[in-house]
Amino acid sequence: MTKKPAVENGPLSKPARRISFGIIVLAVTALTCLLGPLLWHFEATQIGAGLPFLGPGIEHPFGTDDLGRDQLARLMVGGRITVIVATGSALISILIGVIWGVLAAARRGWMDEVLMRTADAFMAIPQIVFALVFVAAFGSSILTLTFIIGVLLAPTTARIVRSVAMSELSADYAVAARACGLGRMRVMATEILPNLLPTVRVQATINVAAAIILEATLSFIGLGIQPPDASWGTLLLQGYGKFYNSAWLVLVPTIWIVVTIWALTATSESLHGRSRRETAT
Amino acid sequence: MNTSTSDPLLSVRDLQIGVPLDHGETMAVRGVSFDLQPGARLGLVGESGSGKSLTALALMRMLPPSVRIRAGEVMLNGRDLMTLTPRQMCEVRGSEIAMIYQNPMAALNPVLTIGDQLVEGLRIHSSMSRSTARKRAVELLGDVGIPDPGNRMESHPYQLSGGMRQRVVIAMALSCEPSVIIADEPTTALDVTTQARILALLRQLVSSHGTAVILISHDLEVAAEFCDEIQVMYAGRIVERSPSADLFANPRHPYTKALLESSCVLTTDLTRPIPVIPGQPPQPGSFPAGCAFQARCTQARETCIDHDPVLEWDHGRAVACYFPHLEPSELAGSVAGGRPLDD
Amino acid sequence: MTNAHGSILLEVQGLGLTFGKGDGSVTALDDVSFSVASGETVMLVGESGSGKTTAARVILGLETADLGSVRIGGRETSGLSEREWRQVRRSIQVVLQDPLSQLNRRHTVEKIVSSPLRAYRIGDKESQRLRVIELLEAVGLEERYLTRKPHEMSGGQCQRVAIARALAVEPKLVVLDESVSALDVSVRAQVLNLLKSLQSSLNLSFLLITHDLAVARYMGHRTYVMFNGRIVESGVTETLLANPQHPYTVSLLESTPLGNLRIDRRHPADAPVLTVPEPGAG
Repeated sequence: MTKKPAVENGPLSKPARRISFGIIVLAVTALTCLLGPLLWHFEATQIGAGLPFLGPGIEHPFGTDDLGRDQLARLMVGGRITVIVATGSALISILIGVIWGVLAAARRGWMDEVLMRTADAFMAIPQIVFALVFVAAFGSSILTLTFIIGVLLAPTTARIVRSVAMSELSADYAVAARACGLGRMRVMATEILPNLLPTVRVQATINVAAAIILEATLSFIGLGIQPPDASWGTLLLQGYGKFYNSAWLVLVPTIWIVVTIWALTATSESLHGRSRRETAT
Repeated sequence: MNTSTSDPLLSVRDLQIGVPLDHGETMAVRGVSFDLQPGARLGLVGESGSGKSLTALALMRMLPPSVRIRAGEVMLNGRDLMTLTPRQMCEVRGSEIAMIYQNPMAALNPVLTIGDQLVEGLRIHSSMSRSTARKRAVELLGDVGIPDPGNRMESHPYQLSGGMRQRVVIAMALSCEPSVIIADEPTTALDVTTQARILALLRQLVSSHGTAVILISHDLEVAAEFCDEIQVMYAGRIVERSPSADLFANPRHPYTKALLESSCVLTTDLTRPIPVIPGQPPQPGSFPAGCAFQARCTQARETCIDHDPVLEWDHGRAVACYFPHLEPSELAGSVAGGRPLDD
Repeated sequence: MTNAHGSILLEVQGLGLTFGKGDGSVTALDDVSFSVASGETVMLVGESGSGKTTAARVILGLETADLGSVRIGGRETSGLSEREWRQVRRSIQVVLQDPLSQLNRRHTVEKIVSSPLRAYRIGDKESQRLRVIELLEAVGLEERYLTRKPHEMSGGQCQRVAIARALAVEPKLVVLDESVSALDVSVRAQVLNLLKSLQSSLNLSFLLITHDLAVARYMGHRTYVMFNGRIVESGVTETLLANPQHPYTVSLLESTPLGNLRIDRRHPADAPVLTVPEPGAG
């Protein structure tokens, strides 16, 4: 009678580094949107490139809209704007959020209170409402929009950064650094900040996803990117009216948004897994 | 194997456990075999990287997901635990083999009262009614020395001190009358004064219940206080097994001897530096070939580098060394390790 | 064992500290006084809740006491500004308990050990590097450890790095908070030997905080036993252990596991034999 351990003959552990499928999708999407329009033979603004309301086919892989414009071309050009706004606002949100969170964690006392209650206030009001107010006040050019979305995403980032910074500050290495003579600011800069990187990486990816959704929503209700610029949100808006003529006009941008969000989430998961492995003893 | 008058309660044969490395896997426990008699108190002592905790967890089949048992059998009450289904193993855990953990706070559920946790264990493994189980739980709390047990049933873990929590964990372990208890560093997280009390309590309880205990520890002195016999582990293997008194009086394996000499205890010689074992204990993945201790051993020879010594028994003591320390009185009529001395 | 203890480096008088208010308040320190002279090792022995770690934190300026005074090198430290604390900290450094967590996991050994040098702006990059190599050598680590990160080293090696860091700015007193408790037995001996040799070669003073009486006996000239925030007994270590007066000290001694030392264990004939009472029944 062979005696084998009942359940343990599983696979040997996988190698530590796995390129996340999500990153591949993101890279492909970004490259397509940035370089694609230069290579594709149809222009996004080319009216009558094909018959109107065509479904996906060989000539036009994503079909055409009511004016016969090639959807793939429009998707790529629109994607440019979406990518720029999303990454730009994510960067702004990280910049503001990190400074906000680190100040609150370092200073404690009344500054911490003020900063955090402001964050709470921001988060209590629905983002769309805030966005509407800002757009009404400052307009909706690409730059302004990037800034507005960045500011909207900052409070959540600040919260997370603050809590990680606070727990790092009470960790042995930070205590030892203080006791060995390092000043508060130096401890924050040289000891704490590097240890915030894993968290910030993950949060940045999440923020890009959030920014895409925010931008798409704003554009969908007509308050985001304005014509003649187009983003995936505006494509959705325009396709929405012609839904009965061709469902593809709505489906294609939607699927792309979903796929990109999924890829971003998958990337953030794998980054999170990597940061957990880094810190595991 | 060791000759004994009765059948062992627990019998471990050639246990091998693999842990993940950057690329692939390496063996952290490399062929551990031992017997445990009913009612015996066996210590498993080693430093970090020795594999003692993994061995203990393997007996309960509670290793972390990435750690795999690659070979071995564990016979308990006539069954090989390694061949049981997860469901069968659940039935075994708690009722036949139970565990006491190092950190009592982590072993107790912070949101449940200790009464609920005790009752839960009792009712899973028996057909007790709720009220019978509650009565039994109060008794158990009293047995482990918790004052006012009736009211304490309603306390939550955070309301108890470290020592009290560990007593609750012991009560839980004993509640279903298992034949074996594995105590994994049960007093490391406790103060020294509490440690003494908990060990005394455990000693008294297991002898009155007739339970066998495997005590895992990094501290030889603690193990010797509690156990009749001690097994010393090094680099995933058992290198010596002796009754406690003999181990301290006449350690045979060079590692055991060196470990005892480098322990800072109340009788350590103050006039000179403590004798040290050069280097540090090897970790899984960097175990040397041949005898794992040869790199740090003062008497390592060619044989030790080329060949791996096996555990050899002699009058109730076992040692895995080609050149074990023997007292002059012991030299007559005994074979050193597995090879003749003049090799 | 040197008797030429010179000036008082650290003097603690009547330290008191209570956390919280009213019913939930916890008295961490109650009228705690002790001192450390140059060249000596003083032990603060106690278990959890004894206040020993709190006392260390107050001394290092990480916590403020409600009552009492702390004088480092004759200078009163209560009410000092951050800037003034910087000057004081140059003479008193710390090594904590956990070898791994007291080192920044993202820094190399070189960066860790040189960080006090950079904080105090001692020397330029090149001379700092040389100083780090010198320090590593003093704690028994080769130059190749410069580029290692904490998780690539063993517990004992990490602790040596922490000691090297503490010695970087040439302090007079090093506070060691349970610094050997988390180490393997065989490694602990190495670090204890290292500390003793550093003390004599650098004329350092140590304030060693521990729960382990055996370590106290090996390392400490004088010992203060703490219980529940107060000092219950103090004196020359050997005398204190041979003849403990306070019941808590007695119970600490009795609880320290001796293994089978009741049975004759061979030790050099000239080693001081400690008669310890039989461990109690529990």
